[in-house]
Amino acid sequence: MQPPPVLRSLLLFTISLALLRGPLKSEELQKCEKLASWTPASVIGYAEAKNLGARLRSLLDSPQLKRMLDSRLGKAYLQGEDYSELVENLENIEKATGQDPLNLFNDLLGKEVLLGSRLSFAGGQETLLLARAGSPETLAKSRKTFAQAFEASTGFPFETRKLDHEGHAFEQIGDLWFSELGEILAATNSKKLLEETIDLAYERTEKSAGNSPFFSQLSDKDDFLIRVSIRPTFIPVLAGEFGRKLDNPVQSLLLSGLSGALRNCKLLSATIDSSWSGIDLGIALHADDRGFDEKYAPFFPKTPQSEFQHSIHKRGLLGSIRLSRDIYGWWENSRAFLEPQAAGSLAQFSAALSMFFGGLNFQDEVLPQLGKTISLVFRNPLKQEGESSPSPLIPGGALIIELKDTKKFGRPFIVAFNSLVSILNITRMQQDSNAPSMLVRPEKVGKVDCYRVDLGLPANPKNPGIEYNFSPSLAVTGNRVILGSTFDLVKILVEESEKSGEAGKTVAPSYARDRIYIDGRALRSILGANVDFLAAQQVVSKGISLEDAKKELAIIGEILSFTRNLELESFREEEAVRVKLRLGLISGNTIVEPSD
Amino acid sequence: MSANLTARERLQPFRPGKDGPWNIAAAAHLARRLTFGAPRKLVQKILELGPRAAPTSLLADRDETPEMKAVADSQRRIGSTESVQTWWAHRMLRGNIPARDKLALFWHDHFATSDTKVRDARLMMDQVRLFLRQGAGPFQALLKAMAKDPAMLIWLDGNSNRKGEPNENFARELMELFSLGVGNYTEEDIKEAARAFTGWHVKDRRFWFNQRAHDTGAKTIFGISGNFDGNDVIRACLQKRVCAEFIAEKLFNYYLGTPVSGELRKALGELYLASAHNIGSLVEKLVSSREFYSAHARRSILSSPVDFTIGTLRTLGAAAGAERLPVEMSRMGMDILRPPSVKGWQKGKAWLNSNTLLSRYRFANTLAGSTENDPRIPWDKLKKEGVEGIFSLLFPEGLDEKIRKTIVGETGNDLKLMVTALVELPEHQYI
Repeated sequence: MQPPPVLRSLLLFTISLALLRGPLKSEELQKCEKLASWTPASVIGYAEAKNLGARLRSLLDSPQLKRMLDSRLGKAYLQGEDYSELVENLENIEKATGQDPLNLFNDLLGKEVLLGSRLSFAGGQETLLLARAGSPETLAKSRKTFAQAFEASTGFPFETRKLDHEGHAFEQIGDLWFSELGEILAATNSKKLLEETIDLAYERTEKSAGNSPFFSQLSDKDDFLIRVSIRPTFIPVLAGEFGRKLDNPVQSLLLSGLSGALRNCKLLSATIDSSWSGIDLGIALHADDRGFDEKYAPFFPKTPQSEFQHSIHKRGLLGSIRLSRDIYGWWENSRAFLEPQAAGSLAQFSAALSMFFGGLNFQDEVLPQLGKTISLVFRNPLKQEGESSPSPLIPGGALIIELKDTKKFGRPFIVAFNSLVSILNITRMQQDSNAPSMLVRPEKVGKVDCYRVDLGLPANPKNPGIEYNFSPSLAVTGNRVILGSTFDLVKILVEESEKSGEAGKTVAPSYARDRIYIDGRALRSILGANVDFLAAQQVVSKGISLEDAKKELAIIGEILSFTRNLELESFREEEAVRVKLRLGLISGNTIVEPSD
Repeated sequence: MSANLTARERLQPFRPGKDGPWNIAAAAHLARRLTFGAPRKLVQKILELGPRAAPTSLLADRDETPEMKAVADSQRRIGSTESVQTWWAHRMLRGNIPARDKLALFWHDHFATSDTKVRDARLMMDQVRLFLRQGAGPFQALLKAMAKDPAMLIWLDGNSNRKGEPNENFARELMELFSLGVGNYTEEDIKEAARAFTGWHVKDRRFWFNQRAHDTGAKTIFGISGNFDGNDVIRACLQKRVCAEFIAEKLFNYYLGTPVSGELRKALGELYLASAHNIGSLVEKLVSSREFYSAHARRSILSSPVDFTIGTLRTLGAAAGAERLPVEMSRMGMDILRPPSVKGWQKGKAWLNSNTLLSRYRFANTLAGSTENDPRIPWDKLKKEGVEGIFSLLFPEGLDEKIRKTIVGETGNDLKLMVTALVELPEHQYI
């Protein structure tokens, strides 16, 4: 039986209306679990901050801050114009509002803040601020305080235009629209954006950034102070740069992988977190549905883990750079990453290097034998008893190249090393017939043959110069070729290499991590050893007095006394590439003395 | 004044009041010639000391300041040509004995040794230090030290001067360029002198008397025979009257720059001998003479690039990184530590050509620059001195009224533009 026509029409009207308004229409203001749920999905990115107020209070109450402010740098800041201006501004706020500025900040912005942005059709930018206050009453109180402060400072009443969006009141002052949504303050420079936010607050739509497939990759569990999430391909000036061919091979080897990851990146998120143990910056590039382009695979190879990298750090490194690349794969496909001219220069470079490798073709016979990891390590020089230190005192550096099989392919590197020394000798003799010849002397470290260049310098000079920092050496050990600027460093690396054995024996291959590491204490130590030299260099380069130069260096030394280390890592995690930067701080009241 | 005087009278001490006024212009003239530029403080000090005492005071040896020592040590440890050039530029700009550096610059040109061949900047630094230390002392000691100086021995092929195969380079330059001048020796004298210097070698970057390579046979030099060695040859050169005239005339040209007649040359030789071969004493006499303060001696020497750059910066009280100055000087035609030949640099009008003049203008423009690399001029201080103060700082002797009006008219109140324009003036190119 069919319903009567009138009832049928009414039913049809009701269903149509329900379909038009959507099934989620609600006239109740919803509880806001996370601010991204009330942010329209059309934003190209947003920044969030959590617990700013509590962290700021903890910072101000901490003994570490006191220690920092007691330092020379801190005292200089407290006596500077910037600090006076800050104090003056805070006093003005307190005077105008009658409230402690810190409490005011905590009430309004201290719990959770979100700042989102989207491009308008007219080409401008529409920005939305959402701030979570403690309660609707706190928000109302803050608004009242602000209105009073406005009146007190301008002499005019704080008057707004009252507006309404489907029953929810909002206000306008100039080009700013704002509304109180429970304990959330929403403010924007676009009326439409505010109306969309109100709709989200009433659950009239689900189209929020929190529900967007783009932003859904973000983890709610991430611990951060500030997180910025953007869709990079929506930023026209940047989008054209991603995946672009480069004209510098070294730049390409370092950065083409990241550039390629950005090209297919649907979401880029950056987080900042800080505590007394350090400051962390993390960047994640999430790939779109296409995933990563396989042509970038040489930039993210899987490599076996080795104890060697850990054990060498225990020997007190100043810093290290570890790069994992399938260099042969990159070289073979270099035209995909490099401009034609730059790719051509690689061929010339290969021909030149072939000369050193005893006739082996560098591209086809040497490169395929390279492992996936190249490291550069630096260490402060060892103190030599009874000898004057050279000035400047330069840290030793060593290049560690991993080979697939050193027994088969280590020899060409020894040939190349000897060839290089011979060529340098000939060149020097051509320029100066009195120049001393460099001699390659074999030396044993354990059972390993090392090759050390004797530069022919006079022994035990009174004031050794820069050249006394160098004793270039080569060793082939385990699956590694080690080329160092000093024999001491090569010796340490050979010892550790021999202890750790060949890479890949212990752990299954995984995506390798590129890593840059700098040790703050070692940096401070080398700065301290060179302070007179560096001060003199400041004098001749900047034209400042020796006294001022020493003061500048003392400030750098003081900054380093708070710095434990600096660590930068980039690595692939299946469909995301992550970059992490950590500045480790020395907390507590312990003054750290320079070390090796 | 000096036109009616005899050569000897022209070289007699200047008497303030009688021979001319002793004023800021005269003191600035001495500052420019004996040091680099005429900074206000120095001019004031000279004015107070008077024309006789000022040269003695300026040329007196002093301990290096801690800053000079620190820069010397660091630049020596680096040991590159650029680092040693920077060391010297820093000394000239901020050192406490600029008169010694100016004299050392004279000897650097006189004994023109170039690092392009020596290829050891530390040896070049040692040579400059030798000039700084002994440049104002007895000429005989300086010449002997130079004959054993490792940089000089490398420069003039000392190591290939061997018994039976003498290399004449050093002996020739000793007579032609270092002590006597062309026409005051014979080819035979050079050949015999070269034999006397055989075995004067360099080993481990130090002087080494190589006994096996030394010719111990009899030699005849300037008509006298004997078993001479290098020191005897130097002594013989110094005993010749022409040596006194040769050295005194060169110093006269460097510090005074007025034409030298035969009579004046003779008088200069007498002055040298009266100074007992002591260079400092001779220089003091030259720069306190009537001739030095005569009108035609003022602003008569076209400044060398070192004088122009260092002098301008010192006069303006500018703080500048010495590191960039050797490059600036090189662009202007004077690459210190790298003279173009054994004869040193071509001086006078040869300093200026279309390239080098533009380099001077470029340098003048950096004075008004505000990048980190540009010199920092104390503009606030100059502003307080006003237009008149700036004119008197750069031209204490006055400037042609027409030029002055043009500069003021064209630059208006723009102090930086005015200083740049003044430094670019032809008048400022002369010291």
